[in-house]
Amino acid sequence: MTERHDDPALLTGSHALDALSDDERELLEATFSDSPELRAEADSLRETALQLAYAVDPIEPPASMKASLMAQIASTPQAAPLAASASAPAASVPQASVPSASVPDADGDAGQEARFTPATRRTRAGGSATAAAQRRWFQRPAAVLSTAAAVAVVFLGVGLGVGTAFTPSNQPGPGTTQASSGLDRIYAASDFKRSTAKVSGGGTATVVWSNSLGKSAVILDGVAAAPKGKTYELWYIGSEGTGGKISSAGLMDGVADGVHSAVLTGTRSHGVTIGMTVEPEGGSEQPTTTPIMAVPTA
Amino acid sequence: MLAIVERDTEAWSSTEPAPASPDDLLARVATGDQAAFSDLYDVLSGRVLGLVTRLLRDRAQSEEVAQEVFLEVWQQAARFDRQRGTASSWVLTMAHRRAVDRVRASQSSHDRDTKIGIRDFEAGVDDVSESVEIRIEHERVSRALAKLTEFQRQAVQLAYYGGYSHSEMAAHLGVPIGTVKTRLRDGMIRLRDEMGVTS
Repeated sequence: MTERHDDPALLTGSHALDALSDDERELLEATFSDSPELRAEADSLRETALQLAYAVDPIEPPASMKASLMAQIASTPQAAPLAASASAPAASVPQASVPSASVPDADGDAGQEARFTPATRRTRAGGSATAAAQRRWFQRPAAVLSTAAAVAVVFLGVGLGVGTAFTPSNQPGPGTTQASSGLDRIYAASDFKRSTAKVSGGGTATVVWSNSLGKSAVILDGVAAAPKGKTYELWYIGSEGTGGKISSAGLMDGVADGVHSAVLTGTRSHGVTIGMTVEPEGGSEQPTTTPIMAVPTA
Repeated sequence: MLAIVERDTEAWSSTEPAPASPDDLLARVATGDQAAFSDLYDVLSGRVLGLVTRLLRDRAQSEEVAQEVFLEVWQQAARFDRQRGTASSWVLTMAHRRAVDRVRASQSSHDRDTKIGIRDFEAGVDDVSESVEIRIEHERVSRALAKLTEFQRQAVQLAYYGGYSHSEMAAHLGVPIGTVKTRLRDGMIRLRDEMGVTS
């Protein structure tokens, strides 16, 4: 190490973790206006530190805390906005270089789209298969639960036999996620939302999404492996306003109890329902079986 | 026919009404909107109290600090800069800073066990079961942390979850302060790259 130990450039890690004294922090922050690189590094490490915060269990505060706060703010004056010049010059903020016109609602997450790890992408012809699938999906809602229950019986008899065609070679071990980089962006989104539903046959499916990112992910917990020669396929089911169109959102391979997640392929339009079916290995153009879970998103 | 499906899916899934985004709520808080503040509190208070409690451990003190954080949110809302990040990030950053300040101010901070940050995090992995998303986050962070060297990991965890300053760490670990700075920076850069974070 050749740098002097008081070189501000060495302080970005400590800065992100709030490990600096006030003097050291001021020393570092004073260099930001002259060094966009240092500021960018400090920002990215600060963002990384936040991931450590998101991994902490939330604790529900007692109701008295909110009551006390609401009483306090009623008589607490608010600060006026700082002059615009006091905030960071736009050019030194990494995400500001992304043309914001194309993603007006994306805020700090603009430009992160490319970071998503899509579920397996496939081309499809659409057409009459769509209509058939829509009939299957929409016209037999009452049968869904009982049929799915029958599918579940099949699951229980099959412990292994997950399709390998789309499983990444660097697949992490059991109980881990295959889509963490995309999930990360969704969790960090300002408009992060979630909804949980039971999966027919056991386990739960949690859908997390962000409208500003147009992205969603499914997290399965305790869902059995798909039967041999079959795979789970995710679907976007359009709302009435968009014609009830169903499109594939990718395959979810490698599910075997534990926790598994996948970021959905493509862009989630507003108000779609996210569904999952059991399909032949390699997936289908349109759902060929009744859904084992469906989660509306709004 | 769609209406039937929508009723059906609602019947077998538990959907919470989608809340307004923290960014939008914070913008309204900046105009003195107390109802928006109430909603923002509902969305973020669990995460804030969870984080503060991780550092302080004492529940009564943690609630006090969490309350200070939200009072600051109310007072400073107009100074939140959307260009610099999300409302959630802003609030959690503020919560971490305040928790660290409190840890350092408290007399007991000098008696802290240097292993405590690490032990807490590891212990946390086992008893997380109520929320699938948090489990995912745990696994993701654990996996990324596992890619750090032992010294880097120890330093990062002591700093973030233990609230140690790098001079405190240098004294506790018996290494030069420059070494601590380097471990924290190299560790955070590695963590960033492992988790695919870009600012």
